[in-house]
Amino acid sequence: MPQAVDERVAVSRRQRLSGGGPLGPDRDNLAVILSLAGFVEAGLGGAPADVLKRRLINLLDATDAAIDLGALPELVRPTFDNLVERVLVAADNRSAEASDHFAKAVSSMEQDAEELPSSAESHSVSGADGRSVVERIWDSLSPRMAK
Amino acid sequence: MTGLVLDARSLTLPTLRLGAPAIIRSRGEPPPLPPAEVTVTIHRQPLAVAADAQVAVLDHWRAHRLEPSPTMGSDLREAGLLHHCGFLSADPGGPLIFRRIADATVKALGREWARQQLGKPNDDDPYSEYAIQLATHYDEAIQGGEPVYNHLVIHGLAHPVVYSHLLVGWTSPTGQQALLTVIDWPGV
Repeated sequence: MPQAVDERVAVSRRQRLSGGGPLGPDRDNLAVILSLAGFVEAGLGGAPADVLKRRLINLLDATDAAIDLGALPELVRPTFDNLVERVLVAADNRSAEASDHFAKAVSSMEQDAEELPSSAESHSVSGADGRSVVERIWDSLSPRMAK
Repeated sequence: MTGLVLDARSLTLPTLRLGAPAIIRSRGEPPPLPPAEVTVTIHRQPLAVAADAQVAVLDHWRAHRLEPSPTMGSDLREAGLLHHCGFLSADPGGPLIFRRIADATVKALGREWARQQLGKPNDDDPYSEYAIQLATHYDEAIQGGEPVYNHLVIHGLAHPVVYSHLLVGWTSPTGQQALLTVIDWPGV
């Protein structure tokens, strides 16, 4: 491919990356995009609080750097701040819901000492699979033993 | 069926000691006698050789792998699986505490031990290297977020004990932890 065509393709790709907006060098934009994706993924995915905090710091650092370098215009900051707030609210809600589910799950599994079986009671611990552990071990070894 | 994965290194039997849990020893009593020597081997196995009850609980976990179902107890009871299950939970930064003990474990270690242990931390017995060794696998299931399946052989009790456990765990965004252990101990 001739060099001039190469350059036109590269320019076209940069324009597509910037969405036609007043955006600067792609590398700085990508740092913001990646940190934004990481933060949103952590916030909506139920990541632990320390992970979410670390990713928020990454996002704020990347945004500040991109604006300082002119890769992003200052006017995007309110949009980013709004997005951050929404994700944090969603993460808070999700965290509260998860805590509630945990508490209910623990409560549903809580066993009273009176429920404990007497030593003489017998259950079919192997469930529907009547084979013993030894039998299953033997079955799983059989293909090797036949070699 | 997937074959067993036996690591030759795991065939060396570590020495474990099972002593009376600290919680059932009264204050002022003389130190306990040296515990009988108990040895155990723990073999990691593929899930393909898990028992039906363990597979059924695994399916339940896959449907709720992000967080435990609020109705887990009744779900497992209705499915006839609850008596296979032990359950431990921890507050953020706290120890894992016994909330439920599988019937097979009660039969092995005794009803009195189980009665005392409910509501107590798994690691409250400094003499129990066995509990400490299991805790490593509990931690793996919780932190790793993937099921852990082991075959275990305990020697040194009145009778050799061969059983398996499936371990699945959860961690909440605020650091709560939960562990479900599903015991398969045929013939008990």
